[in-house]
Amino acid sequence: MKIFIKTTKPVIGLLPAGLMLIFLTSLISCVDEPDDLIPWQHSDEWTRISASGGLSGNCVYSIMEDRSGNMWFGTNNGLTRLSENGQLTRYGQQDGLLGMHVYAIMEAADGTFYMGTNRGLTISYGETVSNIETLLDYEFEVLDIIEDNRNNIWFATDLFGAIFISDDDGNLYQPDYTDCAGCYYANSVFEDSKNNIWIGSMGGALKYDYNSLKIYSAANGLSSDFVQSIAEDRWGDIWIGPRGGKNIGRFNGSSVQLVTMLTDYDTDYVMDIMLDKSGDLWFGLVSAGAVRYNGSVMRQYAASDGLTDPSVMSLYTDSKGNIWLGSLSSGVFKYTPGIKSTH
Amino acid sequence: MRPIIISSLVFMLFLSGLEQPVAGQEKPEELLNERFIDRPLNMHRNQLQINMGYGLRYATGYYGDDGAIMNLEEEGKSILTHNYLFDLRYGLFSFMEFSVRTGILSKTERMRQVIKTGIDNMVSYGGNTETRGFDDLDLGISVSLPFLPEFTGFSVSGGLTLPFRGNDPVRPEHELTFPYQIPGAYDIFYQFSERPGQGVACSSLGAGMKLASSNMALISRVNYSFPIEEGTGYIWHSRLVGNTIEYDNEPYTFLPRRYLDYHLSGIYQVFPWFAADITLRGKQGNGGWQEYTGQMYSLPVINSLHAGAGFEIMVTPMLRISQSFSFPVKGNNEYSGIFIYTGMNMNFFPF
Repeated sequence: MKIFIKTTKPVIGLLPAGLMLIFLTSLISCVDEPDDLIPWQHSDEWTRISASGGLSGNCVYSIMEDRSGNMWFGTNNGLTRLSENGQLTRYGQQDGLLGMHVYAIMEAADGTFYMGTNRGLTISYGETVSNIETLLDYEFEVLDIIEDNRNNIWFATDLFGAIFISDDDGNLYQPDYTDCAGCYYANSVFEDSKNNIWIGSMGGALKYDYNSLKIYSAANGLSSDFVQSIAEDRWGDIWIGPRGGKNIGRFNGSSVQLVTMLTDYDTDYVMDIMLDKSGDLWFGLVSAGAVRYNGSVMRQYAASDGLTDPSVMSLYTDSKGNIWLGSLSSGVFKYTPGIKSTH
Repeated sequence: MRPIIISSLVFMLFLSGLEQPVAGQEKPEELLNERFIDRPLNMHRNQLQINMGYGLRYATGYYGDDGAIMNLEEEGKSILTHNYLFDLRYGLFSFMEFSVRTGILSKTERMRQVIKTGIDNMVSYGGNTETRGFDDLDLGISVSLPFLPEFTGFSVSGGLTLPFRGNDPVRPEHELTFPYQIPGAYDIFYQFSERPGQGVACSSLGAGMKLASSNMALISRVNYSFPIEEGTGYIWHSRLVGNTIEYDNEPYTFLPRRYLDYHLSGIYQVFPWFAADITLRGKQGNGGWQEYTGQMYSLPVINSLHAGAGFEIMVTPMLRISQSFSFPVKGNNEYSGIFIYTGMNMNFFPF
């Protein structure tokens, strides 16, 4: 090795000393990685749970994750709990459930479970189970349940429209539907980010702010008066899914724009709408599978993707970002989307 | 922090004591005439080397998690990368070199236009993701072990990688056209822009080794780099409203992987002015995480191994040019493609 050396003795330069200092300092400021990282999801994955695999029924109307991480499925033959270890437990009328068609499930902030059935409402708190079979001596179905930011519990019913149990006094209240006969049949209830209550009814999409009720129907540009499902996107627009209309309504607060479904099969039932954790909207359709909308392009999921039932009754995104799709006759599908790395 | 400063100064004093006594007294022009295999791993004292180069990488496939290769063309994708490299190395002492390195990256990932038709509607979409700009700035110090026989060399190195900017992709510019006579049908061309580099500061440790005979040499280097801070990036969301596209962004956090880079070169000095080499170059990346929809995911482990060949021509004592070509051998979670590099370096003794 040949070395060229000047005759003068060098002194330590400030630059290398500074760099060495920075480098040594950086060594002790390394960042730790958390222990509870979720393994990377390389590609899309579909799994299915059906009645033959332990689900109560193959028609899944409702899906919910409780605070303990268990998944609950309301079916046409009772209720099923999927625990985190993969165990399935069925619940039926022998457990106090009022009706075997469980259209809605909701866990309130106080830990109370509400189950909307074809024969009324079942309320479960710990070991205590109580039922509300009739209101004003009429039997009714409970099709959807939510808890709003006032901790009022809202029910979408087929006879009284959307009604709520007030957290203040425990009494049952109903908005004034006097001028809207179709409003007494409510399919869904939803609270937007501004705390307005939206009700999907036979009379249109109803917006209620505890003071007044506004009705949006075909006269306002919707494709049908019969509204099945309502959700809000990450931009604050309200999406209104019709029953008996081809196009979905997007309401921006002042006007309705109709968005045409991009599907291979004809459909006019948007059974459910859901915003997933990545900001995409999902539409559960009758006869046309599910459609995912990224804001500009729709992507249909069908049998070729793993969604082997063409009718999707319910949608849910769990805390891990999985998409659950309840089908009409094939049980529930779990879709785990693959992740695109940005690093 | 004070003990670190003191220990660093003591360390630097120790290094300066390693400066070898006057020996050889060779002239700069003689040192610049050294054959490839005779050069030490580091620059000579007071030697300044300016490297510039251009690299072209064309990815044809992608190695999956299981190592199976996926054809990008079949997936409707193509990826072309241009690298412009700038590297400055200076011999501070006979045993220590300081280097500064950066580059300009221009990478285009194309997604083929896809037409989707429905019962009542038709939409086509495709797009580009452009990654352009200055790559990270690498600052490094390499110290060679003194008192080794002339046919060997050993060096250790440390460095800092500093990002020019954070990991904040600029706003997309999607194009929307309506070429169809169908109400509501449109074409959309996604145009995303991303920044090169890791986005956060990283440190590195490395070592190099050389064994030479009269006409041949084996050179190997290994470098381990790791992040020293977490970063924040932004995911852009877009939506179509009427005939316009609106944008919004959302922050997320990340920690890049730790990387182990290594290479082994066998060099044959064909003529004093011409050396040919074959090289195996590998990279392993693990650790790191990325926040996605509120969850923290561990990043997939990546591996790549490339084989290649090249040569260097000494045009004049000051000017050398080089050319190399490499191809993938195996990998995991990495793009597979050919890489062609053309470089030149100029050498001086400025002081």
